[in-house]
Amino acid sequence: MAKAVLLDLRRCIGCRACQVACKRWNDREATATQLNTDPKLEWTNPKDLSPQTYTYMRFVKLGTGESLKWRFAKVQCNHCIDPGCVNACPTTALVKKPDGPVTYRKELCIGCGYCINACPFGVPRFDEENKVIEKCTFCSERLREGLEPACVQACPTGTLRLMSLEEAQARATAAEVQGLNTYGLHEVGGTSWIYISEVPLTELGFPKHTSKSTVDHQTDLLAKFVGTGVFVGAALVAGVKLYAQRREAVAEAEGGE
Amino acid sequence: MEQLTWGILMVAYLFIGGMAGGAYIIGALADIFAKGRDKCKVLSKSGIYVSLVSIILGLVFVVLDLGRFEVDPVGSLNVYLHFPTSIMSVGTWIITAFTVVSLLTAILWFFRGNELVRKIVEVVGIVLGGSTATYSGILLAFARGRPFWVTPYLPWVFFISGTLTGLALALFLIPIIAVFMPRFFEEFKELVDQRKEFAQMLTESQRYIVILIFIELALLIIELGTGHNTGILLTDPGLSPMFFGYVIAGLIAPLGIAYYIAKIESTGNETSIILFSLSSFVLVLIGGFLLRYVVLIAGQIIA
Repeated sequence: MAKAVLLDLRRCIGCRACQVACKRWNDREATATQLNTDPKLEWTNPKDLSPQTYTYMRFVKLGTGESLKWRFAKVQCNHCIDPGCVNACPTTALVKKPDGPVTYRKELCIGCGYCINACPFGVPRFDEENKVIEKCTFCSERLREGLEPACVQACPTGTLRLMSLEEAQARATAAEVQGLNTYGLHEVGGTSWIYISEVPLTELGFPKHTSKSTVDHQTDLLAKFVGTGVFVGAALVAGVKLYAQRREAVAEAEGGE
Repeated sequence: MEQLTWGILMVAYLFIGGMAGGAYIIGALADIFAKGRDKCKVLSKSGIYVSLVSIILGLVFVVLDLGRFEVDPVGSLNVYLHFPTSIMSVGTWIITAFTVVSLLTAILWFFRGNELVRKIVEVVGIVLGGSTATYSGILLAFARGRPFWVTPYLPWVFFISGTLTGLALALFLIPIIAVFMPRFFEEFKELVDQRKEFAQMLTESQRYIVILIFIELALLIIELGTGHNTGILLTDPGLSPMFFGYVIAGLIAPLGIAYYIAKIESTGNETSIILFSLSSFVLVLIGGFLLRYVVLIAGQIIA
């Protein structure tokens, strides 16, 4: 059965327990603190994903002065239902497992980097030292043993909850009916990690996406590409024909002289 | 900060790969429509040889760019082990087939093989060459994490630019080959020695260059008008010099030169026509490289 994680950001207190648990379980090294130059995000640390950071908490300041509000959003691989990275991978090093995780097999990877460019959420990172792709694995080995992902287990407020994909989608749909915002329910055809939030996730720095799945997105592009090709072909033929006519006219004129 | 996944080696690959496809198309069309004209045969040979050398060079660049090549060079062949579902694996098979066909055509030309067989191979090669020049644009357009690349026009910009640069290099190399390898390519030398004939050929080729530039320009304007955040190309201090360099070297200057050549055509000043044409080809090549640079880097830094 496909699993999903529902992230109800209304419950998040920004304790970073998920961030620490991920580092411990996946044996990732700590990274030196870097100043975040965006004043809205100055408390976000680490400031981005990296080969050593599969997940991080985005601390976002919305508004100023009296109206200042803090919002916290966990960032990780969203384990898309139709993942762009899996679709892009030329060697099937990246696979979407039936129970939800998008995982990586380094023995097949050639390091082309296409998954990095193809991910709609900018998640995969290339580890220059070990020459491998690194990203959140949904703790697939824990899921296999019937355990929750490390971050979900560490969450003290119930912000992160593991459930079936159908249940997560149903809860997110219900939240939308109540006027709340979701992310991952529709975006890129749906993801296995679905957010519920009071504010739109795009205000928290998440990229805006349509509901087109990877395959639909590509089909749409190819149709437009073919349509454009008709015009390009017509322009080429017309150009060459015009030139040929002009050449004939010049030849005739020269012959006449 | 966005990750720069693909750098200068990939820029070189996109440029050379597109040029290889375009040079083949030019070479094959020149052969198919030669109607016995020797100058077309020379252009055909030049285009085919250019395409073969370029595609091999392009493959070297792309393999060297693979992140795991250092630790697992043989692992690069994993790309051939699976049914091609990714556009990148589809492209790999297209390029592989194109390299084989390009090699076969070059052999048929060099060893004076059967003309009919050569022309049949060339028809297949035109499809594969066109696909090679275009597919890299589709590869970028499918990359949803880089919205700047997600456009149906980019593959056609690459196709036209590949054909333009392929034509420019095939023509540019005719006198070079004639000077440095006259023993192996006697007909190149004969053509270049007949200055009037060669100048006339270059003058005619300028018309095709103009047609291609106008189509590229039209696509570029549509691309700039409809693409994601394209205004940054005009304002970013790192990108805008490269972008304007492309527009000037790759589009405006060759158009100006073509106009000037059309003006002096009737004067019979062959030396000027040849020199200006060769300069125009160099500018077209510089423009083609800058175009790939701007597109590839902009896509990775524009959020």
